[in-house]
Amino acid sequence: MHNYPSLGLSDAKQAVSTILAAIAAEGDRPAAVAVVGHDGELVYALRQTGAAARLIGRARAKAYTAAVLGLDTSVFRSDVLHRPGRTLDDWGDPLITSLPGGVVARDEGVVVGAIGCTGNSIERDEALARLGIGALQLRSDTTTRRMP
Amino acid sequence: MIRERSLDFEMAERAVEATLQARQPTDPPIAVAVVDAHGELVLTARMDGTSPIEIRQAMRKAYTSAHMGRDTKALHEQLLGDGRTIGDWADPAATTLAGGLVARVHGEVVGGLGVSGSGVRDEELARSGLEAMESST
Repeated sequence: MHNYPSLGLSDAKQAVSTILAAIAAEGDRPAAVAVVGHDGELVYALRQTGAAARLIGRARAKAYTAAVLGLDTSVFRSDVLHRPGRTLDDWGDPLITSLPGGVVARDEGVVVGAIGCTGNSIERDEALARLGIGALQLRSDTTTRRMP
Repeated sequence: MIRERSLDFEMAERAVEATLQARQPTDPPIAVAVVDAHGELVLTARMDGTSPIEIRQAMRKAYTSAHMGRDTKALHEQLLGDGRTIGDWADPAATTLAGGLVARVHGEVVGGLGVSGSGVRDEELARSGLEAMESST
C-alpha cells in the first residue's frame, strides 16, 4: 500500500493567509486563490470581494495543472508547451492551463499539492503563489534522483 | 441603474468557519462551499479526510440554492410534488441533495451555502454557518 502525502486544510489556510496578507500589504488587485492536494483536487479556494467570478476557476485550473503535471505552469508553458507543434489539446484535459501562476508544492521532492493565483499580472500571480508555498515549511529534496 | 446585492468574501469566510466549527467529532469530515447571488463560487473548503466528491457536491448544492432561490431539500420536495426531477432543468450543476441553503438579506437572495460529507447533518450544519453569517451582517 502506498500513502500519498498531501496538503491538508490547515496547510491551505496557512498559505492563503500569507498570500492575502501580501495582497493587502502591496495593494494588489482583488485575487482568487486555489489550493489543491497531491491529486489536483481542491482543498481550499477563494475569490476576494471585487474579483471577477471567472478568476476562481482559473486559479483552480492553475493549481490543478501544477499538481498533476508536477510542474509550475510557467515552466509547463516555457519548457513543454512551446515545443514545435505542441498545443494544450495534446493533454486532452480541459482543466490543464499554461497560464503562469500555478506553483507546485513538493516535500522532499514529492508533489504534495499546488497553489494557483489569478487577478494580477502573471508575474505577480506566480510570485503570490510562491509566497504561499514558502509559508508551508516544505523540506527540500536532499536525495539525488534521476529525472523520469 | 439597478443594484444587486451579493454576499462578499468576508461574509463567506464567517459562514465557512462557523459551519466547520458546528461540526461535531461524531460527524464525518465535511466540505463547505459559498456562492454569490449569481451562484458563482466565492469560497470553498474541504476538511482533511473528506473525499473530493464532497467538495463538488457542496459547490453544486450552494449553486443550486442561490440560482433557484430554494433550499435544496425544499426543492427536492417541490419537485416530488410536481412529478418532476432536477433533470428537467438540463443543468448539470443543479442538485436536489439536501444541504444547500439560500442566503438572504432582507428577503433578497445574496448567495448560497452548501455542505456535503456529514451524511444526515449537511443541512443542519449549513444552517449553523448561514445563521452565523446573517447574525453578523
